[in-house]
Amino acid sequence: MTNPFRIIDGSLPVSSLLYEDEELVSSQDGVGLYDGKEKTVGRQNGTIQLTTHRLMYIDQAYPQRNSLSLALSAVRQTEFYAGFLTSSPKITIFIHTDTRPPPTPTTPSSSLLPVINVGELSTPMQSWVCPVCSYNNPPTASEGRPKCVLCGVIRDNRAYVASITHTPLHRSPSLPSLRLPVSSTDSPLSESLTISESSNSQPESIECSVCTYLNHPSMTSCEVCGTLLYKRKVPSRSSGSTPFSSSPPPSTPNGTPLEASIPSRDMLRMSFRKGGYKPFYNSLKKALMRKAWEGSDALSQRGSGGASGAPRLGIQGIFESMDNNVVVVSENMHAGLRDLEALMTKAKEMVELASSLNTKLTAQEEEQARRRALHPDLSLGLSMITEPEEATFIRSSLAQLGLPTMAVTQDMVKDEDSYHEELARELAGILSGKGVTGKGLLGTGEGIIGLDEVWCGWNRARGVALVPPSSLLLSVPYLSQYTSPPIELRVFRSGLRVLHTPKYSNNAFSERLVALLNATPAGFKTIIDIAMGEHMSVGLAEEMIQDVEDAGRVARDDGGANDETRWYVNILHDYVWDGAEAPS
Amino acid sequence: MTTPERPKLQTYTLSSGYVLPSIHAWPPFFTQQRNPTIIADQISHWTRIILSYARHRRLFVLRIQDADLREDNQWSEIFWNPRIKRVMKPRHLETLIESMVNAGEAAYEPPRQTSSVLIFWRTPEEWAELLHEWATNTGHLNTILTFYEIIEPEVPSQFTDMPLPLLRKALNTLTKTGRAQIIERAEGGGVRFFAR
Repeated sequence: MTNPFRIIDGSLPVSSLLYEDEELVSSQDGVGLYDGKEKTVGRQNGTIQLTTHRLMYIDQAYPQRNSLSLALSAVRQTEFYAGFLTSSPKITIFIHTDTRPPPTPTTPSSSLLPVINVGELSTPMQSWVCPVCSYNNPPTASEGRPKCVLCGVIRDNRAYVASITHTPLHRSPSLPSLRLPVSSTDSPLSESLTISESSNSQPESIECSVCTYLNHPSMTSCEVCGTLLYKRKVPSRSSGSTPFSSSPPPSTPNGTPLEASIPSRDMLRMSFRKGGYKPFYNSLKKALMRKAWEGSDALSQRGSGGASGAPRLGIQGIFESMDNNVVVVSENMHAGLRDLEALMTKAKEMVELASSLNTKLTAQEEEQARRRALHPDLSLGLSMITEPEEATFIRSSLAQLGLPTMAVTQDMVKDEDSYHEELARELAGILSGKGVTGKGLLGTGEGIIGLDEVWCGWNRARGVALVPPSSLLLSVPYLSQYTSPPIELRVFRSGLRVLHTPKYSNNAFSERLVALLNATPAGFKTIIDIAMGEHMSVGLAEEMIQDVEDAGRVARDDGGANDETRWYVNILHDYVWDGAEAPS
Repeated sequence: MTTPERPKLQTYTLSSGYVLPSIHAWPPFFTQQRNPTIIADQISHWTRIILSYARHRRLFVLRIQDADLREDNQWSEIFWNPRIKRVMKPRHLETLIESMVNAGEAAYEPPRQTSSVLIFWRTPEEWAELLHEWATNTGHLNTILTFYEIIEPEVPSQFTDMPLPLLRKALNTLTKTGRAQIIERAEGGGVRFFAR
């Protein structure tokens, strides 16, 4: 793996820093870098460029010296700090520590300071000549083992070594974007390379082995006799004499110390002093999600692994991906339905569990009651006081959740009619509260309930084996057989359906209403008065009064205060004319 | 059904001498009811009030604008009951008028609109009989009388202020039986009564 940080030459225009498959995503100026909690010296004012593959810091003051880039593939995590008062907003980037290479024993000094050695530099980002077709491949920002753009042969290290031998880095015309750190001109490029690269500022010439002409370092064959030039190194005065010499401490040729080193921490913090952090952070996250470097990586892997050697293209490829999608979707659906089926098969067991819990609690309660009766003094104990309370609580919640007996399901009865009859018997128990410890749905006071509430309450009691509304409607006619006083269904003019006890039948209610109105001194009641008196909702009261009105027993008066409707006993029917009779 | 606690509705005598029925003091009477039976009762009582009051005050025309007026208007005495703070709503009056027209107790005048009616506290046929009787008794048979002479006589008669459309309706029934002849003139029509 490579060091994710790289020194780049920020004096070049950004577009020329990009690799062929890299795109500029976002940029923001006025950014400073932090090394841990401390400001990084020399990298306090620059521009951050976000590409699909890298994050680049271009220093404003010393773009050549202090600019650096970070491969996005090394980013482990990002953090965002919105800023407070004088503190600027910051984005912290955590870097995979395990990707850092162990220091090579042959380059001991480079491990002390994170100066890039050529071995690290080389791996993904160099241009290289294909050993098969000799095509000079452009550098790519993608990781993984690249393959030749022209012939598709995967690059091996041998080929790379050969290429770098013949195309010295900083002279290569195909490498405008990559520039070695200033300090690295002093260090040997690589211990593996016995290249005749000069370590001082003056480039070293290559001596031809045949005619001894000193060729320019960029030449690969002798200018005079055409002999292939080998890496015979002409001794120079300042460079390390052996290829395995250690790197000198990083310093610029003119002796000034390096102002900003490559960050050694496994995190990078960017302070956005001129704002713009939000869009930048968003695009950073998008770029991290996109994983552009992996895309080409995967492509190359597929290319190497697959027999076809190339991804499917064209209509065939589209069809293939569509087929794959269909397979994936149907697999997901089947997996989801399997879960549901499993739940259905377990439903009975769950109901059994609930009922067994219920019986256990009943037994326990009885036993405690007996014990308390036997030993009245014991009931003063704290445990004896609290336990029944807990038990009642559990029981009441159980009663709300479960049925006293097993829920009736269609497979338990022989035909449809008896199924609905059984359902009606069960519903009767729920409504009247018989057999259930808790209060019945109809309760003690109301005696009238909407069918929707019944359905919800019933299904809550059943838990899993739910009853469809159609079954409820079909079982309601049987209901009066199993309830006393009989519970009847009533459909109002609006379509509202309720279940009610005889107390709330139309006749009983209208008698009550007329008596109530007659007993009122003013002779009228509003809907709210009536609803409160009957302990029912206003909407329900309105429906019931309308039914009484339909029978002609009450009359409305809309002229009251607040536009509320007042209800009067209808006297028109029995009215005898007592007004003036004009002479005809 | 009635209990003694509820105050009994009272009749009310207007300053004009007209006695409002006790039902006029019942607040729901001023609200358009929803139950068809109640509506029928309500309409019949209202129609009776309107007709008897119109006869009492000799009112011939009723407009929807006469409803919802809490001020002195020839109709406000019956359409506004300040004692129970209830007033006739225009929509309610519209349905009342409609049912009166359907029952032949009123007619839209002018025709093809529904906001103004002639009130038939006497039907056109009854008016026709009265007219013919009056012409016979006053010796106007076989002579030409202008409409103006009938509805604005020098001595006030029962036909004073009668609307011309109503007079024409009445006379038309007489012409059908050959007891009168309408003579049209540019300056206004006239009529000649014949004896039977």
